[in-house]
Amino acid sequence: MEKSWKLNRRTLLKSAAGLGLALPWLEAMGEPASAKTLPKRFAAVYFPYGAYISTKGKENSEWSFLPLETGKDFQFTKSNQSMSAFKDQVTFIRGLSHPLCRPMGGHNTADTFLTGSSMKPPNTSNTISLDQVMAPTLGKETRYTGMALSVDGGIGEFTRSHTLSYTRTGHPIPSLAKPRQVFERMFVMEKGRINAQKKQLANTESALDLLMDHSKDLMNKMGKADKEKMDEYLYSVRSIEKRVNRSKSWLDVPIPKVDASNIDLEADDNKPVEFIRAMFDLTYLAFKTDLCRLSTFQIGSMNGATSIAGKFPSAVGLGNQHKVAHGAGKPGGAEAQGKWNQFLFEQMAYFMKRLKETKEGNTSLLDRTAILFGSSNSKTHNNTNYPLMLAGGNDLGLKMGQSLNYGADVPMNNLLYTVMNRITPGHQSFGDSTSELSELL
Amino acid sequence: MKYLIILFLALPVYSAQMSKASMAEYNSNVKPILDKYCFSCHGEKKQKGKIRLDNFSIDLYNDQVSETWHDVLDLMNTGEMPPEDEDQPSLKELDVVTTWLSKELKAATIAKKSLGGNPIRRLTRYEYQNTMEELLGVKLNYSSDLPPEGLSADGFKNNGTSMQMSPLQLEFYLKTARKGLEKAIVVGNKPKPYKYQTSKPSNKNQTKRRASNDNVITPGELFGVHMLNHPLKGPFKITVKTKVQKIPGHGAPRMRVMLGYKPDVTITEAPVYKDFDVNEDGTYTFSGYLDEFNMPNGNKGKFPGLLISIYNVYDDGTLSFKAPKKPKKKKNKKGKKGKEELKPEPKVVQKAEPALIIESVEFESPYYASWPPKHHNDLLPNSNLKKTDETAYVAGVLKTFMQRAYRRKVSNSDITWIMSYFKRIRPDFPNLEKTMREVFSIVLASPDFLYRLEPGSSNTPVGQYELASRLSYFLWSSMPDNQLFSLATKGNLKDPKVLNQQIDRMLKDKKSWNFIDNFTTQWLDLDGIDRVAVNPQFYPKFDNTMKVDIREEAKYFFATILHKDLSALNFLDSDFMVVNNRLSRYYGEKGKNPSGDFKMVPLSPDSRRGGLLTQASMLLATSTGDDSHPIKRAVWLRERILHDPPSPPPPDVPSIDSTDPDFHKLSTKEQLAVHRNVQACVRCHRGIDGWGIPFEEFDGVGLYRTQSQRAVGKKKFTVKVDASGELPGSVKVNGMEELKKYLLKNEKERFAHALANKVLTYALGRTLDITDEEVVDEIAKKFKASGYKLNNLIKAVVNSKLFLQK
Repeated sequence: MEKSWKLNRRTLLKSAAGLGLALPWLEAMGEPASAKTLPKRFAAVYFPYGAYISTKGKENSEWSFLPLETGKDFQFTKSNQSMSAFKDQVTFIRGLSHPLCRPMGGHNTADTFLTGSSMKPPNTSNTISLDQVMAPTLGKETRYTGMALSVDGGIGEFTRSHTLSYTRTGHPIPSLAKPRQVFERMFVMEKGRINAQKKQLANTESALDLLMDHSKDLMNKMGKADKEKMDEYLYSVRSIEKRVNRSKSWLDVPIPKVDASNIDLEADDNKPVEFIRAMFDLTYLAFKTDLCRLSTFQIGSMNGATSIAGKFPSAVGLGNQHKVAHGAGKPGGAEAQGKWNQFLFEQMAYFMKRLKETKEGNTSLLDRTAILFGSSNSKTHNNTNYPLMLAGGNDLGLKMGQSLNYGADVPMNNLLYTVMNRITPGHQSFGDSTSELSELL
Repeated sequence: MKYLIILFLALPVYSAQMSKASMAEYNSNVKPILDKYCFSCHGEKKQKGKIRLDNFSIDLYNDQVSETWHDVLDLMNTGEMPPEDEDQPSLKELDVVTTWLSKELKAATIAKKSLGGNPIRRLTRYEYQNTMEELLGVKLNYSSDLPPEGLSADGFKNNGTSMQMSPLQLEFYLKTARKGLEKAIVVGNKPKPYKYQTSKPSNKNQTKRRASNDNVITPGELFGVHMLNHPLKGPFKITVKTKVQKIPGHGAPRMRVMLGYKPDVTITEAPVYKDFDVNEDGTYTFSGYLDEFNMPNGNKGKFPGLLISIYNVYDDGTLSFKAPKKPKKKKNKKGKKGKEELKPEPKVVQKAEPALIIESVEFESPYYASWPPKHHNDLLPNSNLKKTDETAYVAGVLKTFMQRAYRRKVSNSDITWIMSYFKRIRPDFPNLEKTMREVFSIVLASPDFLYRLEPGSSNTPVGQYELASRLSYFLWSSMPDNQLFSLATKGNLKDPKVLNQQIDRMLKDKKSWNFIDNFTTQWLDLDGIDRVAVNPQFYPKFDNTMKVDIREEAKYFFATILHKDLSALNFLDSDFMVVNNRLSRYYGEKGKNPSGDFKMVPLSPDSRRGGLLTQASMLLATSTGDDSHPIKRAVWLRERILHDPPSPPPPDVPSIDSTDPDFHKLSTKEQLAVHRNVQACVRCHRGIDGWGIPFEEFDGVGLYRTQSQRAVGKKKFTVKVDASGELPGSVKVNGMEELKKYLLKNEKERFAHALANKVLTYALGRTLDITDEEVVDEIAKKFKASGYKLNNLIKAVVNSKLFLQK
């Protein structure tokens, strides 16, 4: 069993003395941890186009994403078989969806998975995502606030996003899609002496100040639409400023050395297994070393027209993704989709196993991480009854080891709200949530 | 007073509203149908679901109103309303309602969007790349870290609204600027270079197949060079001296130069330059930065050393060429995969092949032609002032640099803030050079550089410098050059004669390839090729490296029509194709163009090609990897060629629950017919399917066929292709030839209009709206009058009021 890398500032400083190690100056957030309490974590993993969801007695129901039974005594299906190794650490949830997103276009809802906002016209923006609500609290003690990962990278398009994370103002947070880029940003130290870096940070700070003033001057001469764009720029400057400012306090703390030799950092969309696992490995390492406590990972967007992940199922021998999704009703279709879901569950099992095998406190990283896994479609084009699984989080007060079933009157944000309150307590609601899901407590 | 201001701001200021004609259409055609089928439950007497429509507003420019009508449209489209047990409207009646609603909702959405004005545009990823390269004079990959650009609804990457800024992005800009300036500005004395020279191929990279033992490099072979003790960073130069062996009837040998490293079993290498035909004996030099090549562990892994490989990649399919294959996994007795076989394939010696006869290869790094290098002197020219009055010197070089970076004249106030930064940080740095790296980096993170700012109110004429930028980013995807800049300074650029001369000059410049590349890629969605994984079960012979050639074909086709001043109707059908040797063979016209360079060649009489619709790029990008996908092809045609995209699927459309066990035995056309018989699908798909069915003559990788392949489990069988479709208006077209004829005869004006629309959208970097229609019409008219010449289309776009106005 591996040990969790627990941040202890004093020992760190000791070990770092004279090494001249330091961190990349950006993205670093918050003060180093005082290590009073064990960290709580959250990870969301999303896949597009829904899953094969069936009910007892139906043909092909053995391929259902969700178990056919409810309660504690549920059976694993062919699809989710790989989760049987985590029987007491997973809860399957049937019937939930975001009510505001139900009338949206069938391929439009990925953006809303963690927000629950309607993006149907005339709406032109999203709202804050679950992870970002928790970020100020969870990011306080870690070097980075979190990681937004995807297969496609960047922000994508409105209703065809490439990211699950949205800021307070509903702006998409670009995701990273190259394992090497993620690795270098998070785990590789900036070269140079600490003093030189301190100077660099100080210079950057004053440069940003000047840029800020200069940009405000420019903005005064602009029209409405331009001002909105300039606002994005100013917001960016301000965010970097904050990070620079705070990263100074991390300068003396070295980034823990991690062994990435088994991670295929060059993996791309042509190698789905290696690619997805590389992202999970990096998330695992970031959690284990407490570099951050939040991650979102979007495995593909619902845009056959732009998502590179559309070819994942074919790359693992199952046929084009859109076709797999649309073909559920055709002969052999349930099996094809079930196998694709099986593939996804297997990748989740890989991730969860690494977390489970790493001890933290009296339990494991998995028990101290709430993982939400699912999609924002059930069948293709259908924005109800999402396939959802919650994993880990036993030690955060989430009740695992069950299969739940809700009616359409329960908004999915009740689930997000419940999770949120376990990790960062004290919220009144989240989006259109009405209450917590008592079954999970 | 304060209250009043807030109130004023809170009011939506939509000046646009529905046209009288649209209202009239509603009252006379749409409302009576709704009255007949809907108002009994959603009217005066009953308001089921709390929805009342009979007296409901039709002001679709009002957000709440449009949302409700959106729902009405979706429910009618999916057949949920009217409910099954109620009277059902006829197809024709449904058509009237849904067509009116979709049309008006779309118009309202677009109009509302455009009311906010057109926001400033940030440089796109590729514009940033080109601009940085020109500005700093150092060729580096500046855009690798930047997140990919999202596509706008109309398929373009340079749309001001969809391009956003984020902390991550800005952070990368700053990091990239620092990286670039570290290279552009040098410090100290000229470093001593590492040099290596050889006239014999190295035997150190034998594990690479087809490494030649002698200096004659036949197609598929490589000349390997292996070096130890080389530097890991800095500029390098590779000099290859070679003779050429030409063979009549074949093209010239084609050179590919790769640089790499062998960390383990396989070599990681990357090209140093684009492949090119070597037509003459001579000395060829290549340069770049070692930093750009991935060399993990400082090249000190299992097999240390730097590898240069000079390949001959000539491939016309008639010779002994064998592309380097992946090592075969040998199965051992237990059926498990064994070790990789690394034995090189036996060399087939064929003398009469186009070959490179390598005489010598030289490597030098760090390589500087002069010291300080030109890019350094351009940024920090030598001057006495540097010593006598550093501040004045810096103010001078900053002014020059900022004018180029901001693409306009700069004022004192522009310089003041950055000078204050210089003064603030100067004491932190040991020398001026290092200080200036930092100062220039901040200039490159400022909004004046990253955005195309055009201050002033909309609908006023653009300024001279703004016009220079508009032109250069349109036709070069990069910053204005000296000539454009000085014309702007003189104030001559708006003279139509000067403007048209500049367009001609710019299109002749090799930088116009950027326009061809970026516009063609976005217009035709060439990125789609990479989104399809070709299934080897159905296409065992498909070679994935063909995707590169397939993508290039579309661009060279566009370039040919542009540069040879041919009619743009050739996009619909042509009697020529533009291919290289690999593509000629792919299309079954082996030897048509034996050269590795793309050339325009006439079609054979029995050829199935001609125009865009039969190019593998489009056919492959719209396939599933297993088979063709007529719907995707139809949507592509309507969106890209006719600019009439069908509406996206409404929510909760059921998939076809075909219980017919023989479904897979039907032709795709028949399968689609089943689809169309489902009530929820028929309304939309009637206008789609017919356009896609004629494409059925081409398989998922774009090859002609008469039988399509199917598989159930492992059992494979074929189904006869039926390519006879019916277009809206009961027009029957059987196969691609008839579809192309139909388009040329009946749709050429719609196509011209569509293309005008696409070029204008790209040139302006924004979505067009109804108010722009008039201008598009005007441009399309000029385009048509010129005999559909792209050159004239571009001129009409530039001379239009939209291009010349903010």
